[in-house]
Amino acid sequence: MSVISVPQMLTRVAAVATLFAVTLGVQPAALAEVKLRQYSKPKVLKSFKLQDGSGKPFGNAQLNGRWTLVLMGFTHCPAVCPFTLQNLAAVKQELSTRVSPAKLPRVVFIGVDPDRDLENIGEYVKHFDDDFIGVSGEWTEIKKVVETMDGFVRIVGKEKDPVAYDVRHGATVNLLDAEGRLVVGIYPPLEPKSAAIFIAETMLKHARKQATN
Amino acid sequence: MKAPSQVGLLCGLLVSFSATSQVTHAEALKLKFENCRIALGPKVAKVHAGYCSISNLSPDPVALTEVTSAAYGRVELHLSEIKNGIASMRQLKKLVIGAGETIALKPEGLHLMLMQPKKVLKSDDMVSFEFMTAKDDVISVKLHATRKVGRSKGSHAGHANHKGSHSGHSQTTQ
Repeated sequence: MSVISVPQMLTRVAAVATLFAVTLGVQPAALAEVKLRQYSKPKVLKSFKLQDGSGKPFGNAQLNGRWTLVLMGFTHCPAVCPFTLQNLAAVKQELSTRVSPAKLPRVVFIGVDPDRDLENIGEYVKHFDDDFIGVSGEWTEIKKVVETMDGFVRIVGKEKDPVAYDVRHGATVNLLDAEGRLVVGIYPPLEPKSAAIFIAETMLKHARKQATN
Repeated sequence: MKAPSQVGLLCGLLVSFSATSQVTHAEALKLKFENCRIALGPKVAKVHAGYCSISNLSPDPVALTEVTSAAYGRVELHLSEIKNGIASMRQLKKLVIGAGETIALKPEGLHLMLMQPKKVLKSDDMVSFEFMTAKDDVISVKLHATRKVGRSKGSHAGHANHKGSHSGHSQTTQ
């Protein structure tokens, strides 16, 4: 059993934000609650170096320029990861009606089981959306990413059963701003429409705040 | 494959199949399999998930202890959970379905962990599985393969029949 990190939440209390999206023209009653891990200010991530599905380096620089949604998981995950990736595709679809194409957040799936993920993580995520980015890398670098994003990964039983071992991992979807800083974590379950409205609103608030500064 | 020990029970194990949501009950219906499917996910995925809704219409609990398929090297009953934002998974040694109870195998919950696929499966393939009970009964169920990984919106039923030494009692109804 190997533990690479324990969640270190700056504000671990899960704020429950009921979204009042009146400004976006959506009836509040139709929305699910979005459970959040909030930060008092955007968190600058420590330096990390992974690689994408084509073998190109993927690090902090690749998180700049656009907002990013980051999910951690593994390609041998039968249920939670593909279900969440499918929901992220739906979130992206919902966001496309609220955000201009140039500002549409990228989606990054970090494979935390590199022995099995490195081989085909790029092709794996394309199943859900052609623009999704799959990355993985050396264990020490994955550990850095997990820690800096306040995530959690624990590989259980690999020595005993190298086929059906469990990879326990944080199922939080992290929202990063266009400077690659961690803004908020969205706890599961991820309801696409509510999440999209929340993300669009967060991006709008962020832009307004920057405009006034 | 284990030899059935209770022919009487076997006669009652059900079987339902319908692409049009119609379920015809066997004479002495016991278990009903519905919405049975394999979520294949990405083509490069080496692990798939199997989902089904299983109803026990008998007056007694039924324990499913093993599931096999010629299409996979390993099949296990698993439970995925998300607690405090952490996703985990564990194998179940058995799945007990209480009298009159329906248990849904679905994403982010109970599922069949389908490992080591022996051939490339494609959408709309019908794949045979054998569900074994604690009483050594064997129920054959066909799961419909699909690339979709989300929750089933339809009511497509599984295709099941029971097997054993009581030839002539197996049923497939439509």
